[in-house]
Amino acid sequence: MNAVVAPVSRRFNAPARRESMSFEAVVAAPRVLLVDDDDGARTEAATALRAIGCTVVEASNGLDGLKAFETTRPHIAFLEVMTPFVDGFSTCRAMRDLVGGADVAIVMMTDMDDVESLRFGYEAGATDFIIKPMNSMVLQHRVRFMFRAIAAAQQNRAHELKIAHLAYHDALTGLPNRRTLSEYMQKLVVEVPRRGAVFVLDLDGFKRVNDTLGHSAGDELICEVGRRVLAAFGLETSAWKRGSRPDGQLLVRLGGDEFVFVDPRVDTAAAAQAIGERILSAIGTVFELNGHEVLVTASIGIALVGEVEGGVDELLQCADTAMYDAKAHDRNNAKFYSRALSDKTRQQVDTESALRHALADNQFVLYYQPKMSLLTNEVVGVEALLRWRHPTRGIVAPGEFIGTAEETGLIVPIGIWAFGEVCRQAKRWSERADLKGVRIAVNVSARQFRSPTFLAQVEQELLVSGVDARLIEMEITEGVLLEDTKGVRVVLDGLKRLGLQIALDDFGTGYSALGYLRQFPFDTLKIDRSFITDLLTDEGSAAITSAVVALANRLRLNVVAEGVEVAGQAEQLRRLGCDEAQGYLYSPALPPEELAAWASGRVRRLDVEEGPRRISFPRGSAIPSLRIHALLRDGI
Amino acid sequence: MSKTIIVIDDSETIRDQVRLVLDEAGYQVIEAEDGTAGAAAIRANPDAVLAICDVNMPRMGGLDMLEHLKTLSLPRTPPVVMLTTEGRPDLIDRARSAGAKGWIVKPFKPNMLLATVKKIASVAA
Repeated sequence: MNAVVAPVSRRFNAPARRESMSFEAVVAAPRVLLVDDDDGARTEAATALRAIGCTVVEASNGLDGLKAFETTRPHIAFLEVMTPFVDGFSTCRAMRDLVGGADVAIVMMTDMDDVESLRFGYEAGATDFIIKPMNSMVLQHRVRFMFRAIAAAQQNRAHELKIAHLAYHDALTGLPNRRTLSEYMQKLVVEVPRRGAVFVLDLDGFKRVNDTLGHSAGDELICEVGRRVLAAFGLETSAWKRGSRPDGQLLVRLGGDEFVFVDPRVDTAAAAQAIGERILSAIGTVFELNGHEVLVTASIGIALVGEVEGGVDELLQCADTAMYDAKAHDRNNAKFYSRALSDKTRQQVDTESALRHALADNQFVLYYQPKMSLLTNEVVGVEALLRWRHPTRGIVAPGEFIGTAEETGLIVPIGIWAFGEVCRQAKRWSERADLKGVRIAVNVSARQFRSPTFLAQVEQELLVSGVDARLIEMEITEGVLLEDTKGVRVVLDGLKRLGLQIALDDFGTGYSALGYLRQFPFDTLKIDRSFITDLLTDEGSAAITSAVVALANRLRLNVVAEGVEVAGQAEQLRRLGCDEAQGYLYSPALPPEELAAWASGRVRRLDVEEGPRRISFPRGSAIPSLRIHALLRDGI
Repeated sequence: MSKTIIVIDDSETIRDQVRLVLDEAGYQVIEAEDGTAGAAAIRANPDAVLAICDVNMPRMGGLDMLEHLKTLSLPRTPPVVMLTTEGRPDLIDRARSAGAKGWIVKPFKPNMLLATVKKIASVAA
């Protein structure tokens, strides 16, 4: 055999300690394994490496080297080529197959003249080689260089682990994501056939929380929902180890406000229903978000694995369909999948693609609902309402497509089109003696309002149509206001500068903060229809309506009641001091020609050159609104 | 008299490769395809200079064969070197306890094999 030549002592330089080398900063607890049957050479090398802070484990043959590897898991292993019983190359191959063996740096120690063994070493999987006899200082430096590379590799590995984690988990909640779900479900349908249930849950009104309390509150809500559901079932965040049998329940966040819960043991509808209710009650209590108390509910769709034909995708699709059914019902409930549901959701998908063509094909139209002065019973304005003239479905109400338009972002171009159309219509009517002075109100969605080109587009439409901007009123909801107060203020001021009127729509239904009324330059407050509906029957609604009207009057805001259906409501509103009303009592929304015919002769005579009147009183002065109307009517 | 080496492996390919190396070095090769045939060959050729033996084989594996031979307390047997893809320390330990003289992890290099063979065979001779 190739006997190891004992190191020549004069080759050793001054004590290595003087170098004051250390690995602490690079690799924690650096460990080196030395396998060599030449006791002298091995001891020299071990001493040199210990001097620079390595923990060194020694072995005199391959077998003991392999055993030492298993117990100490060194970062670097030095293997003499010709060791007894198990040679260095065999040791190298065997080591690579041990647990952790792929990560260790293996250095073959070989004689200068044994060039062939360099090739063998490479083929056996060695990382590097070193020529014997070894110089202690060179060895020390070699090891230091190697540890730098090892540290870099460790860092890469840590990054890889993090990336791998992110690939399978949701960044916001840390819950497993769609990809994990997919793997889990694949295993579930194979290993636990025809058992288990899938629950797709979606929060009700999540968009509203996002719109009114901001995205950070929305994020917090999502995290808390995750925590609550996990706690309700005593689950860990990552309850399933990838590749293992899907024995336990799993909670996954798909994105947005959509979660999926899977229970592999459930096999009856009753058991699934019980699980669904447990989820609902875990979510259905008050959340504290940004100092607001918010009540959020969820809708759950359930699909039983044993009752759905097809694979994972079909299962999820079925549960998803059932979830939409739950939403369409009272929300805050759990519904099972049934075949009849499939057809219904297909219509939603159709809506999305049809919507994309609708704008280009001029399928949108505006209908107009009159706003009446409660004092004079004259038409003072109209609200423009979007309708979709679907080629096969006929006139489609906004309720059936606005949600989809918002989700897809199509609401932005649709909104701009609507604004332009309103400008053109207002211009046409302003040129007719019988409709002169009729204001047109148009709704603006939060998403459109946040669009960076919004102001410029509004200005452009005003210019092109040549309409008097004072005839146009923009109705925005509270949702618009809360996101970025400063940005909102800038846009609102910009709209005011262009001469537009601003109305706050659906007042009283969002997370209303009265401060907004003072903070932003509104002209009009619209009381939500829900209060008007109950005005005559519910004392609470009456009290709120009365208070909102009084508040608006004190703040010198025009106030409009929506959804007025019977004369009693109108009379009550008039008594409370409400300025204007709209609703079926007067007229439904009508196509422009019909509205023009209806309104002709009912319009208040107002000199459009002066624009809508506004009489200025010192802030806080108590002028009853009735007097303001009286003054206006008298033409002051 | 030419020196004899027994090659015990269920893979004909491996047996061929090993024989090629040993033929060239002037050894006479006896082949066996599992532990049972290997044990018989070893008992029939006590003067062989070496046996090269696989670990995982049908019917009787290499380690079982070694342990079986040990129980027989034969007056004279050739030294045995294991040639295998296995590298688990517990298996290597078992081989050493059963009297094996070496452990080579496949794939082998002709020169390395020959170096080991010569070293062990010369000790045995």
